[in-house]
Amino acid sequence: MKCDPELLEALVDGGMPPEQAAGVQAHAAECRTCGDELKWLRSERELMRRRAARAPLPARKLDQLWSGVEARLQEKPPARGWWRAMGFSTAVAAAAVLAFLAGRHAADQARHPAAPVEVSQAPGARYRPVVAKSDDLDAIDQAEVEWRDAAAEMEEIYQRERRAIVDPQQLARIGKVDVSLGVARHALSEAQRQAGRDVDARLAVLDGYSQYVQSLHMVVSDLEVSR
Amino acid sequence: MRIVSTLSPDAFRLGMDQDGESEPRAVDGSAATRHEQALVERARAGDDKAFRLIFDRHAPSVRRFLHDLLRDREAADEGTQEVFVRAHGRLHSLRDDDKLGPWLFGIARHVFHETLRSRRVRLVPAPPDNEVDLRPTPEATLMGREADEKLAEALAHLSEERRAALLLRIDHGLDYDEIRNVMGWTLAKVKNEIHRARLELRTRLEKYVGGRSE
Repeated sequence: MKCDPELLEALVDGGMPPEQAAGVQAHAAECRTCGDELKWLRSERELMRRRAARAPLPARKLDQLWSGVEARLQEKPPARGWWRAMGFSTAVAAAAVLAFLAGRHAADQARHPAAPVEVSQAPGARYRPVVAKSDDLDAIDQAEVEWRDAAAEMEEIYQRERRAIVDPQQLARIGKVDVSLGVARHALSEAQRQAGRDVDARLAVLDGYSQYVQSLHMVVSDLEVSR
Repeated sequence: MRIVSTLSPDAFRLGMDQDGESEPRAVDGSAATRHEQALVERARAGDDKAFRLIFDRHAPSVRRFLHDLLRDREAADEGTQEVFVRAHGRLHSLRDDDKLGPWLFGIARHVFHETLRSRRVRLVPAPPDNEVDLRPTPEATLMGREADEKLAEALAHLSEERRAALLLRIDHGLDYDEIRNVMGWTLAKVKNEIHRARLELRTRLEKYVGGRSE
């Protein structure tokens, strides 16, 4: 049998088939290097076992720690629920606005077809402008405020999760995510700026917020899972 | 300093048993694993008692791990609580084939780094965590305390990451693959770091535990 430190460790771990264990032990008995190594492996495990046995956490201490955990769980809203619920409710609200406006817009167009309008090449103006009604824009304004809040909350959570990253490989990966999110955020701001009072462009902005928040949501979930 | 004992010096340096044998680990842990999976399922469903059982089972190891890394009793307590608060919120992300222990140590490792950043815990060799010491005899008390002090000193000389990897292996019984997941390293790096950590620890403790063959 050749010297193999991993076999020695497996022997100390236990669970090795008896025949193989006997072979490893026989080798360690004849080979001084492996014999010393095996002796040390057993010593270090025993040191750890005895240390743990000498200072167990008493029930009183465990209760005390648990009280702290329990108190924090009680003051904490249901796990992940607050921002998820917020995201979903905002999405539902925005979807309702979109459906409402899209339906009414279609009906309006059927009754009063809009005159052809030159479509600008600007990114935020690729939708055909329509004459907006004030209540349309109010609803869009409201939805946009909700999306903006949702995006801000998600950005905060993302930054918190991001600060917790210590693994160099994960840091390198998240750097690329930062760039993508930065580009998306800039595009969204630009579209928002150009949309003005154009209902279709404003709806596109809402759609952009939805995509942006969903992207953040996915990244944050991924970071949480990987922790 | 050589640690004396009323028993055979070779057998009882640093608190060793006379036979020096470690107890082999259970070969078949499947029943325990199934029990733990059932607890996780119950906890996920909102059963607070199940989560308390998980806490009772794993909090001592998690706290010992954090105390070994932070060397600060208060920080270890707070860190342990933080680990379980986070675990409670993330039980849904625990996959069926994940073992709970390594998963909790993964969270603990992040908490350790965050604690270092936020509290700037002073990382100096600290006395062993013998807040409650169930020591059977005065002789054993002296021997146990000295053993723990020597061990704490030796561990304190290891870098934090190396110390974490070694402790996960020899104190908490994680295998190399589980440590790879906790540390986020390659398997080769895990083996290399543990090998180096073991050599360093051995160099510092060998004179107490028993030297190489003459």
